[in-house]
Amino acid sequence: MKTKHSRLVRAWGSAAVVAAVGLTAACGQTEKGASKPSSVGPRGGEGIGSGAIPGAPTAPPKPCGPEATAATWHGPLPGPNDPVPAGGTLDKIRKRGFLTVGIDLNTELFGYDPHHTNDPQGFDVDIAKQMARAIFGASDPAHIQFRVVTLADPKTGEFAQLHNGNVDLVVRTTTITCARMQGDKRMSFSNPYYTAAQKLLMPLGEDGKPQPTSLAQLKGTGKKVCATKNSTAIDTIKAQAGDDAAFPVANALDCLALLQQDQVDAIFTDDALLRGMEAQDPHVAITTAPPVQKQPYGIVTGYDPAKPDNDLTPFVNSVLAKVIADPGPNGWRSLFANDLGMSPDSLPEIPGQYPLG
Amino acid sequence: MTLATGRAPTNPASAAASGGAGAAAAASVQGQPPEPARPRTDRRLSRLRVVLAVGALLFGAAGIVSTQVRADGADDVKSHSGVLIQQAEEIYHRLSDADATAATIYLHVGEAPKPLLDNYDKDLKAAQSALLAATNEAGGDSAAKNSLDQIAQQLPIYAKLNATAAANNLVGYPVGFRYLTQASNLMQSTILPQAQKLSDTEAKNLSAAEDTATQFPWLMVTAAVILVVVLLVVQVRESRRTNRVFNLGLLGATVGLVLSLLWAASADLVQSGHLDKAKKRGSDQVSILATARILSLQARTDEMLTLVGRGTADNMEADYAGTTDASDHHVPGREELLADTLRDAVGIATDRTGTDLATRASEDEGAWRVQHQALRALDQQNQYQKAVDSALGERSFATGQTGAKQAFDKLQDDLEQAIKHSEDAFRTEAKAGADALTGLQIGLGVLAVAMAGAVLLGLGRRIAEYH
Repeated sequence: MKTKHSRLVRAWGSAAVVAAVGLTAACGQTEKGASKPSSVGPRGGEGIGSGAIPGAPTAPPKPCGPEATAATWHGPLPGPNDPVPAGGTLDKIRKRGFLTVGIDLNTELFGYDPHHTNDPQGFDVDIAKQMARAIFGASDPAHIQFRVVTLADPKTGEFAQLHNGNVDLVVRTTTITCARMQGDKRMSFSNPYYTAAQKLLMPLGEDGKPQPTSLAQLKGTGKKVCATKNSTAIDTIKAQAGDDAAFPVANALDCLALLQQDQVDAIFTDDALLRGMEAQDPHVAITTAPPVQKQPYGIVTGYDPAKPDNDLTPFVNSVLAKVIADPGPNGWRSLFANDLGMSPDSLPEIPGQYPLG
Repeated sequence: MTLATGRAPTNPASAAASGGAGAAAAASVQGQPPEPARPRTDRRLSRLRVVLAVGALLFGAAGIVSTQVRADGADDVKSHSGVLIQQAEEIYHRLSDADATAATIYLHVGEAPKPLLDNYDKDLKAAQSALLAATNEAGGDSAAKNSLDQIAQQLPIYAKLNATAAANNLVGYPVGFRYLTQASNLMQSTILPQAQKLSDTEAKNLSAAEDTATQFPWLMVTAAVILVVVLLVVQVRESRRTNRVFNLGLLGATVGLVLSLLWAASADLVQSGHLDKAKKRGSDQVSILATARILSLQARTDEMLTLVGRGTADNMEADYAGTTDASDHHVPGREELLADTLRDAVGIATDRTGTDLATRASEDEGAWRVQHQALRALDQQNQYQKAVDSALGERSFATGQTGAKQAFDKLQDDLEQAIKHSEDAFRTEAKAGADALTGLQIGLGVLAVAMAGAVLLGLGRRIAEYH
């Protein structure tokens, strides 16, 4: 416990140091990426080109490290009644009286509305509520409004609602990738609030226990592996299990419906989504094979081309750091345990390098 | 031949063997003058008599055949094609309604109200009955049979997907919506296009039957023209040769011919008129109103799926409202197509009631669009529950305040009435059309025999003058 805590302090402390350097924004990170190309080359299973996908940025994403998400608030975090810079995003939200957050409502455990009563639940929702709590001192429906948002393109990541200004931020199991921070419609990410890993979900074995199968073991077996179309998961399936194995669908949850109808044999995506699927079907389980790639999830704030120094991300980062350190009922550990039904193995990691995407 | 010579055998070989008067008559056919005692005019008149009498009978036969063709067509319009197209539209309507209802059921929290569940069951059962009836009626029509087969095969899969969606929804599992989407996709992109194909096939068959029923009676008219020319020529020559102005027999036959033509023409005109009305007041209206009804149901499905999807089915709203493509072209959505179709329905309405009903449906559609937009605005402003209440007609929307449900239901009621009105008009006119030819065939037959008799009598008297 003590080691974990000190590791946390180290990680977030170093994040703050990097932030001081990295606050000089985009130019800093491009220089860094360009000057040290050899040290940040793609890792195994990650070297995925994006050129073939329509709407993807024309230039391949450049490698990016922790500095890309590290901005923190200057000085002490303002309380609900403390003054904030006039004309800033925070000021705007305060004057409006409520925070608008983009979420998903079809992802069990992270963002869902089990009784169609417009009472969203899940880990994403609870993290969003902490942001409202930091701004207004309360997270009741009067101070936070949820809107459903969807990614227009999984590669470049584009939340139309965010770009239109319909929502202030998005908490929606969104992986921080370099491509999403560098494209035309780039978005700004916070530090990770959850670390997912891409895993395989299959029906339980004959002994009623999760199978040990890995993606690579499915190569040549003729089995179909389902994933969201255009996602990096599809590319990984093709690379590891063969082109014929990939079975792309519109929505990740379609995979579960297809698995239940025996039209696919396995599902490959983030374990966060897979856990939600496990919760909906007692006959499937995540296989015990090691994860293929870590997927750090971040809170997304908009990107205003006229205002490259996004003033919401530093605030979100500082609040997040506070929530992660909070041992109380509204702290990260308690929320994780309540929403996901298990204690976290570790705190969210800030990786040495984000997935290229 | 037999008519001309009475007892003479028609076989030349046996006639030659038996000799006598028979042989003479038979030889006269071959153009050899065996009995110079009989004058040439006499022989010519005998031959003319036969030709005219046979001609009168042939004309009768031509009239009967021509009338039969039209009667068959009219009967086809009334019973077979008319019935099949109604069944095709019943299948199409019931299945569209089932799909809209399934999405509506899904939107309810927990168990859906019984009337809705009953409605879904009733739709599927009615669709199955119509499928069975249409299969029986389709007979050897392979295109129709193929469409019916496809629908029959996919329908159980559709029902099963919806059942799985409902079971997941009951326990609050989001995966249920993916089943609902799969079911709706199967319906909208596989089953309904087959129902559309069936409707199109049957519309084509109906229009072919209408064409047959109103076919111009060429055979009869050709026979009539030839016969009237011959009759007139013979009469002019006879009146020159004799001092009498009229040969009563020939005159009678001519009058008979004119009467036949007048009768046939008037009956055909009446029949064509009714069939034209059956098309204009009936099937054309039914077709356009049925199209409107199906569009309205598909738009309702869009409305429901958008709400159920909670942001993951916004393409359904695009389907409803239309989209603007990359080159700035507006692609109309179902709502716009529906509005256009209803405007067309008002335009082609032929009577007061029809116009009123179509106008009302058109106004209902406008009211529904307003409600739909209000509902979308509510959903956008984070008032999801209110949007759902409007769509389902619950809470404040159940009493007094008009929501999307009330507006949609009113549109369905008025469309139903309008379709019923047009179907009644179709049935009445199609029946009147089929009835218009009653008695014509017997009449034409009797008149033809009478004409033949008149010719025989009239010329028989002239021939007797030579003896």
